Amino acid sequence: MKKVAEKKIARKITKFCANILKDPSVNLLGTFSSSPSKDLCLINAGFLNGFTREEILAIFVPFWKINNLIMLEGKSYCVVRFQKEKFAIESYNKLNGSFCLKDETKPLYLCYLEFIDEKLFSSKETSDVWPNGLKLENNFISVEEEEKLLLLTHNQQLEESQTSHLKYRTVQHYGFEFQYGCNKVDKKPLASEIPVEMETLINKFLEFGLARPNQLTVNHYIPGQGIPLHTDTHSSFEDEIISVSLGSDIVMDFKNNDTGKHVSITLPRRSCLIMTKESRYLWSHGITPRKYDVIDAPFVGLTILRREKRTSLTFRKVRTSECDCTFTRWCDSQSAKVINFSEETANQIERNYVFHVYDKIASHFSQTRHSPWPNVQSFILSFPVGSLLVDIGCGNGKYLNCSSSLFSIGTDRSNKLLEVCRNREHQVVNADCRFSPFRDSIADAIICIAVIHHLTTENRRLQTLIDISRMLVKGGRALIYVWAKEQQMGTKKSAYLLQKKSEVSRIQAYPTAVLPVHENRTNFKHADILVPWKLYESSSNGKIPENSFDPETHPSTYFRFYHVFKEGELEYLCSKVSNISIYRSFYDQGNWCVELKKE
Amino acid sequence: MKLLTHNLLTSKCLKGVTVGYPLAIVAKEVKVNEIDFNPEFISRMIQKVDWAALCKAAENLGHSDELPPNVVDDYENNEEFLKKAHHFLMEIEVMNGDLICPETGRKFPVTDGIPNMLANEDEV
Repeated sequence: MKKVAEKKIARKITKFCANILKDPSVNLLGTFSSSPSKDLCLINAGFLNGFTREEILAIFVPFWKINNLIMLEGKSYCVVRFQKEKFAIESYNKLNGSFCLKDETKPLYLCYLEFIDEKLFSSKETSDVWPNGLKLENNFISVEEEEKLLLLTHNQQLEESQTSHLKYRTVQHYGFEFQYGCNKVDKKPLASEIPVEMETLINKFLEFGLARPNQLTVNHYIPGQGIPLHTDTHSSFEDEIISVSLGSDIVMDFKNNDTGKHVSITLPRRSCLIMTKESRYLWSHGITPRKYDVIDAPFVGLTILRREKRTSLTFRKVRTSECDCTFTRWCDSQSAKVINFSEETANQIERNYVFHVYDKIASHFSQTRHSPWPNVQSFILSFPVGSLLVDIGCGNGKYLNCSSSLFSIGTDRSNKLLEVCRNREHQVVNADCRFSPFRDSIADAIICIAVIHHLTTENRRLQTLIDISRMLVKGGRALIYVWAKEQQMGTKKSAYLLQKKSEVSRIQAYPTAVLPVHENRTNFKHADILVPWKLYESSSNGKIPENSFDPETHPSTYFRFYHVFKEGELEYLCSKVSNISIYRSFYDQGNWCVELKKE
Repeated sequence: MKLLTHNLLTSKCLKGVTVGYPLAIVAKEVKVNEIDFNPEFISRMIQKVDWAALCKAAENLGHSDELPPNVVDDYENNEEFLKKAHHFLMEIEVMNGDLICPETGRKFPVTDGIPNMLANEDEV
């Protein structure tokens, strides 16, 4: 009887191996062998059969030491590498054909493998990355502190009425309520603040250089419970999110929202996890609901970690202003305002918030714009006599007479500014910077200083750069300046900047567009903004109007649209233009600048 | 608007216009300003200038046959030619009038020496 069964098993395995070998996608498996080795192929135990890594490891790990388990997408088998051949033989003898995995009707078959391509083992496991900005402090609190905190949170849990039993865990909130459905905070404060007993712990955070949190979420997990992958909404909380683990180790999963890259990190009990920057804004985190985790422990290899009752304390600081992180695709503060105006809206906003404004403020603007910026001037002076310079968006024409050995032509949308230029005997043309009315391949030098940041869409800004490339002669160079969102490099603030607190107000720039108003001399909070220009009417006619109060306090305010550029954005835009290369790029007094060369 | 500036202008920004060059000039007011003569500068500019378009512009302003129909050989050393080119390119300015697209007939006004090359939103 035993012999018959063995024959049947052998037949099944032979048939299976033959089928695998027909699969052209498998060339790393090596060959099936009847003589023992450290590597076993487990037939009927793959992702395709609905098993997880943990379920398969759970068969072996309690009895034999395993070095590695490779599971392949869409396959009905997997490969286990044991630490010793002995373990493989024992498993083979014990399990082959006589063991069924949970809920599986087909028995598990095993077969030794020879000449496995080592790539099979290296490909999967080495891709792990540590999310940028993620910090894990082991033994952040002592055993005694842990005990105190556990007691405190469990007592609170019994008393408090706002404890909610979610499908997968029990949650309590302090300070503000974190709404797990949408991962946002309810900005209406709760009656219960963070318990005073937490003060020792909070002081530890402060010592660690973290900001004082004002919101706490306590999660109680029993083995088998978890929390789905999520990113705490950017607009709800500040950068640092702190999580202290009590009662049990746990494996937390992290997923990069951009790349889909996945990494699992063991959070030991009494550790403190600090999510900042990329790990806080760009990555999701969560806990898979299961009763045990498999971890790759140092010196031990893969082992099973049984989950115990775990309590996590998550501390956050509720945000009072908009988030201005650089992960705009994932930022609800910014994505709501990512400007994607229709052509009609774009035209209207540029007309009302750029061209008309410059016409209104032209003479005052011109008085404040007399000295050329040194880097622009030296660019102009680098061209030989008889070169043609085109200044796109020339304003009051302060660069048109930098060099008398060049022929300089300026274009602008504001007739009033062009009149200023004409009074200074400059050659100027009223034109749209996206469609300059000049012949192809004609300009040796083009400057476009502080212009394309007035255009409302990326496409319109790009059109301008493409048109600049069109006009340049081969080997000709262009200099582009745009206002930088970053008004501070290192510790050095730009001349523009003067730190002060401010609240954001908004203006309905168009029926379909509400834009934030920038407070002058402060850091930029948004990419697309209205910047006020205060015009003192009294100075235009030299008289203070009758019945007026102090004219200083009653200026007319005009708003100009700006798209302030983030670091790298201008280069990115230039990279979309064919036939030009970036000759150099630099930061100059609060502006991002590139010098382009026509190929 | 100097004729050198005019020599560089096209109405290609209009939808459907392929060359848009040269723009005809209908002048209402023309001014002549004396400008310092720089032979090296003018020689370099002549390399950029579309000479036929300059002749046509001169003709539009009533200066028929004052310019040779082609750039002369060895112009760098021909002071008479360079001075003539200098006068037409640098000293004559159209103050008021219209520029006319050769393909569509669209008029672009010149006001106080400033050509308005802005197209309407439905023209681009």
